[in-house]
Amino acid sequence: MALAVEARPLTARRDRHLERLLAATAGGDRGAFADLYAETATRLFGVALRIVGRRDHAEDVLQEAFVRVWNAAGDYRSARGAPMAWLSTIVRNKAIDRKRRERPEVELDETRQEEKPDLSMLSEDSRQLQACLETLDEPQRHCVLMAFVEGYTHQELAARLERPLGTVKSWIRRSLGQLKVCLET
Amino acid sequence: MTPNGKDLRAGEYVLGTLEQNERRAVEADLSRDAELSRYVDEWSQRLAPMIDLIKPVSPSPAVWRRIETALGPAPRTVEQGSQAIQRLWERLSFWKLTTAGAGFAAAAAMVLLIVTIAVPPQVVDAPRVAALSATGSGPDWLVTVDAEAGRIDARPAGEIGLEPGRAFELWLLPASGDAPLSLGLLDVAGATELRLEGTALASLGGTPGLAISLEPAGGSPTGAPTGPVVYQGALLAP
Repeated sequence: MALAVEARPLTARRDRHLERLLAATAGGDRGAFADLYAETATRLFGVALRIVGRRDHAEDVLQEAFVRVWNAAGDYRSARGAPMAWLSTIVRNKAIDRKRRERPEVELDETRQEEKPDLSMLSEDSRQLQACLETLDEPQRHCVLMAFVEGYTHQELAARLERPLGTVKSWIRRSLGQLKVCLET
Repeated sequence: MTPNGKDLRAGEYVLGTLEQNERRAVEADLSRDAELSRYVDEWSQRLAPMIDLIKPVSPSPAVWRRIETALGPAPRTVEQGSQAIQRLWERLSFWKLTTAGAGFAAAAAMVLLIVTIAVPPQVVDAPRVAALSATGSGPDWLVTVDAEAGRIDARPAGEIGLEPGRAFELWLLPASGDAPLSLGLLDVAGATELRLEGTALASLGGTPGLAISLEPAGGSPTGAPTGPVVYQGALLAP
C-alpha cells in the first residue's frame, strides 16, 4: 500500500500539470485535451462505473463528461479547487443522473457486492479528510462512504442498511456537519 | 462552523443522496443563488478526494474515438480534408456535365468503376475519397481516407435528417467479403474525424468501398451493422 502511494506523483505537481492541460484545452488545444483524457480517464471511468454499474452506461457517462469538459474547460479556475475535483464532479453528476434515469425507483440488485472502501487508499494530501472520516462512528461513516462511492440515495441507503429513512437522513446530515467542522480545524 | 440548512442541502447534493427531483431543484436554485453555488463548490472540494477509494478501470478505446467524433475534426485536418474534397467536387461537376439525361447514380457508378480501374495500385497510401449516396440519388456524404495519417474525415454533402435516438455508423467493406468493420459514428451536423487503425487499416488495400448504416444511438451494439445500409459508395484514389 505504501508503495502504491509513493508511485503516484505528488498530488500538487499532478494538479499543476492537469491545470496546464485544462488551460490549453480551454484554448482549443486538442493534443492537450487528449493528454488530459489519457491521464484521468481510468480513474474517472472507475468512478462512473461504480455508480452506474454497467460498462456501456459508464462509457456513455465518460463520453458526455469529456465533451462537457471540452466545452467548459474555460470555466475551470484553480481558485475553485483541484482539477481532479472539478473533473470528478462533472463525471459524478452525469453518472448519478444516468443512474437515477435508469432506475427511477428504488430497485436494489441484491447480488451486487460492494467492496468495503479502505480509507488507507486516500492520497497523502487527503490525510485530513481521512482523519476526519475516522472520527465518525462506524455506521455513519460507512453510510457516507457508500453514498459517495456507490451514488445511493437516502432511500437506497436505508434499504441497504435496513434502517429507517429518517435515521439514515439524520446520519448523513450529522456526518456532513461533523466533517465540515473537522476539516476547518 | 456547523453548517446551516442550505449548506447541508449542498452537501447532500454533492454526496449524491438526493432523489432526482430534489437534485433538479438544487440545480435550478444554483443559477440564482450564489451562496448555494459556493457551498456546492466547497463540498465538491471537501469530498472529491474520496474518489481515491474507487478502483480505477480502463474504458474501452472506443470511448475516446466517440469523444473525438462528438467534437468534430481539429482545424488542421479540416484543411487537409477540404483539399481532397475540393478535388472530388471538381470530379463530381465533371460527372454532372457529362451525364445529362442519364440517371446520375448509375452514371456515377460507371465512372467510379472506370476511375478505380484506371488508378495504378502503388498510390494506395495517398488520401482517397468516397462519395456515398443513397440508391438513386446524388452524393450524400463525402469521405476522405488518409491511410498514412490513419485518419478519416467524413462530412455530409448536404442536409441530412436523423431522428432522435438513432446514429449513422460508417463501415469499411473488406475485399474478402468478411463482416464490415466499424469505423465510427458520424455527425450529421458537420465534419467527423475518425481514426483508422488496426484491422480496418490493414483491410483498406482491396476494399470495394464504404457503407453507412442506421443504428441505435451509441452505435451498433453487436459490432456488425444491425440497421439498414442507407448509403454506400466506392473508395477512389485521389
